[in-house]
Amino acid sequence: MNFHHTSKGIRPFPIGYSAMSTERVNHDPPLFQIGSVKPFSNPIPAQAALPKILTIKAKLHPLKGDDKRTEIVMFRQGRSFTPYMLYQSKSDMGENGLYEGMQLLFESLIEGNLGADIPVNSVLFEKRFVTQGNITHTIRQDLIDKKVITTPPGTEHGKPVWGLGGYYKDSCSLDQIEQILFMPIIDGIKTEVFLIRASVWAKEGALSNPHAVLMEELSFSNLGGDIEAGKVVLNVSIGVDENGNGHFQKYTSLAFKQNDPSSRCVEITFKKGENHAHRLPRA
Amino acid sequence: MKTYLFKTDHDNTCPVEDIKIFNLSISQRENETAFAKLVMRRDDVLSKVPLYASIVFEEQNGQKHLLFKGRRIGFPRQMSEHLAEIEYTSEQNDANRQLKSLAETLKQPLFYDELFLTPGDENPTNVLEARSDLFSWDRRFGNVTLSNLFDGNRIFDLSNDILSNSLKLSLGDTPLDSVTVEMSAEWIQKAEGQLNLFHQIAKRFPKRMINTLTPDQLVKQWPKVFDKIGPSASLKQSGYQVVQSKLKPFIPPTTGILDIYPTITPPITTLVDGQPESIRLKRSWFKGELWLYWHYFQKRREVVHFTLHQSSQLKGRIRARQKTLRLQLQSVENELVNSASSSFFISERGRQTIIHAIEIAKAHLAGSSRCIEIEFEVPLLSAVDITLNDSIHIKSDKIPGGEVTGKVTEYNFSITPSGAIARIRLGVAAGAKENSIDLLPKDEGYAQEDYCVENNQTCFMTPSGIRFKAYHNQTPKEGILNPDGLRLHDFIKKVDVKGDAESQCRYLYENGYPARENTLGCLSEIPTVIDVELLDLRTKDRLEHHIHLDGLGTWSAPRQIDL
Repeated sequence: MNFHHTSKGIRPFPIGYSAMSTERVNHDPPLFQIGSVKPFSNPIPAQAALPKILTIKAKLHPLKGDDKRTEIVMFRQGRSFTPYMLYQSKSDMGENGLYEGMQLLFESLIEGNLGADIPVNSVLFEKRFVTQGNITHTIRQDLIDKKVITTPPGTEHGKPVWGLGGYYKDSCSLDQIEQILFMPIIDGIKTEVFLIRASVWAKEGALSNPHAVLMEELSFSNLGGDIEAGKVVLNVSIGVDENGNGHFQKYTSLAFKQNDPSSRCVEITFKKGENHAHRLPRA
Repeated sequence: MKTYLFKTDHDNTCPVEDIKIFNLSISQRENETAFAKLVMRRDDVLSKVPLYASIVFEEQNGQKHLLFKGRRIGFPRQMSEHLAEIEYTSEQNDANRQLKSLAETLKQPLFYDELFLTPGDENPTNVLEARSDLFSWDRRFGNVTLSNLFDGNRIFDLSNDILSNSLKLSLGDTPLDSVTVEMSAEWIQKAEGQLNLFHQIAKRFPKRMINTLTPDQLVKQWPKVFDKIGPSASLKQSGYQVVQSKLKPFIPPTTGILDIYPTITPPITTLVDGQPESIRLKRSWFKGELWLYWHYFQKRREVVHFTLHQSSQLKGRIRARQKTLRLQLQSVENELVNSASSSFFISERGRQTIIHAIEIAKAHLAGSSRCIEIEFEVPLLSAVDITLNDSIHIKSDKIPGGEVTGKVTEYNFSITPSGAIARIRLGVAAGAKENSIDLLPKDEGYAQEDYCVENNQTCFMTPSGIRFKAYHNQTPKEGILNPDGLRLHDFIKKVDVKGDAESQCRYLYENGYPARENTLGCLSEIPTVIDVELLDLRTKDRLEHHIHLDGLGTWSAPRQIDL
């Protein structure tokens, strides 16, 4: 075995590793531009983008208070008559006319684009009804010194009328959702109440019973009427200006449609109104 | 004196009877196994010569010396009517195994480095590349050992045995004055990552959020996923690509505690149906993200240059001879500190290769340094034990300086009817110093295993004691040196925004009604445009970096003769 090839200088060194060229790996300057002159479309004025007519779907949400023990007691000449439990009546109006309020909750947008979302279940409108507290109403009529002293005060020779609550039951129409009134009366040995719808009262209440005295300030309109009267208002934000003032487009209710009264849903149509601005609260 | 031939089997050795050796020649040179040539009777050669044989030399006093053991090579080389010549080699059947086994023990760090070898090259001689040693085969026992170029295991003094007029001294190859090494390594520097540009763009807008009166254009031209980044008229091979992108309009807080984010403009007058009307435009605000993937793959070539000089007594007296070694390493990609490294040699592993290369250069100097050849003859009996792994000392007034110690490089034992003579050749180094290592003088600093401090400068040392100054300040200058360390702000060279909402508004006031009827049409002249310039990742064919080793010590072979 010869080893001449091991003599230094005779044996060539091995060819090492040659990495491939990287000339074409990255060869463009890292510049780029976003946005340019074309294509270009004119901007739209903020309020012009909102529709003239808007239709939404809303849901009825009745507000029922806690169960109450409200007693009505009549006294006449020192004699008391059997009390009447106001909210335990079995009549239609007595049973369904005890709601404290009715809300319209936003469900969805049916027609028109607002460019922004309205939160589902946000309250669009709330109609409040007058109800009685958990107390005993006492109505006295005494003859003292040849004078008729009547309580409550101001009802001399009159019959007091109070609000029972709002009327609502499943599948009822929006026109039926209104304030119910009651008037205490004496029936033999018992105290009784006479119930009447606010719309009926407004139309004929005073005429049918000229001695009735309305003891509370209450609404005589029904929910359907409120909608048609434009009482439901939708303020759509247009934006905030440079001073922090909010600009809004007002939409007022115009009409309603109950396609399926049993679903509690109602379609409400709004019309575009004036826009307005006001200072927004600081966040 | 008599010479015997023994048949050598695995288990026993027995003389071959009735055989006569007329002439015997045993010779061996460095790097070779020994050969024995025997001239015998033709019939003996054809019928009695064994395949495996030992040659024994017997003195007149009966003392026997084993001269050779080996294996017959093929058919008789020469044959006449009565005589024939047969040849034996001392190479053993397990020579390869022995060699590999020895080589394995020599694969030691700094003296052996696979980066210098072709992958898969298992040649045992690779282990000698950085050593001043050779493999040496024993003619009598067949074993292989490592033999130093200058120092034998034993020193024989044959001053009194040299036959008259046989001493010859000659100058062999001129020793190398220096070896220059250019050692290169190539790799692809690789780095990649992701960055989100969105906030860098957004903060250039008023209120530090993207807002515009012309949102359609911005949304349409906002970069999409997979888009490559680059000028519009290019292949967009900049090394950047969009991997996540979103531009989503949103309604900012109605009023912030410290700021107001108007979503409509102040009133702007324009003609509607021929009548001037004050309108407000929608000011759109955007949230989003713009993630870019980036990569930087750059070929790098790093070259280390150094020259190792040799001091010799012949320096200045003969023409200087230089040698250049060009060493190209195998792939170092798995040896880098990390794949993004811009330098290989400026690392612990890189320094190991430099040390190895210096040892290679030193081995080349050593290989050339035995420039004096001395040849002489002695009676065989005086040299019967001498091998290539021995040194011989001679005193003679015929030798410059009167004495010499040389390493046996070749010998020939000749036994003929007229006598038995050994002809020996020595290789002698004419180094300048007694010590072959040019070590740092102890009073100039301090030295440890692999580095030292000299004149407040760090030096490194090879296992042979050759020192060189630290070179870590010779860092690469071109390309991205530490791409792994890049932060977001390093990538952002320029972000310019033109035509933000406030600029657009001002422009409409200055250029719209009454100067022009269609105020809104003026917006086409000032769209929202974002210009971005990122860190340049353009690559080149290759980036080359050179490191020059300074302060390399001078190496000297041993001073075996005074010239």
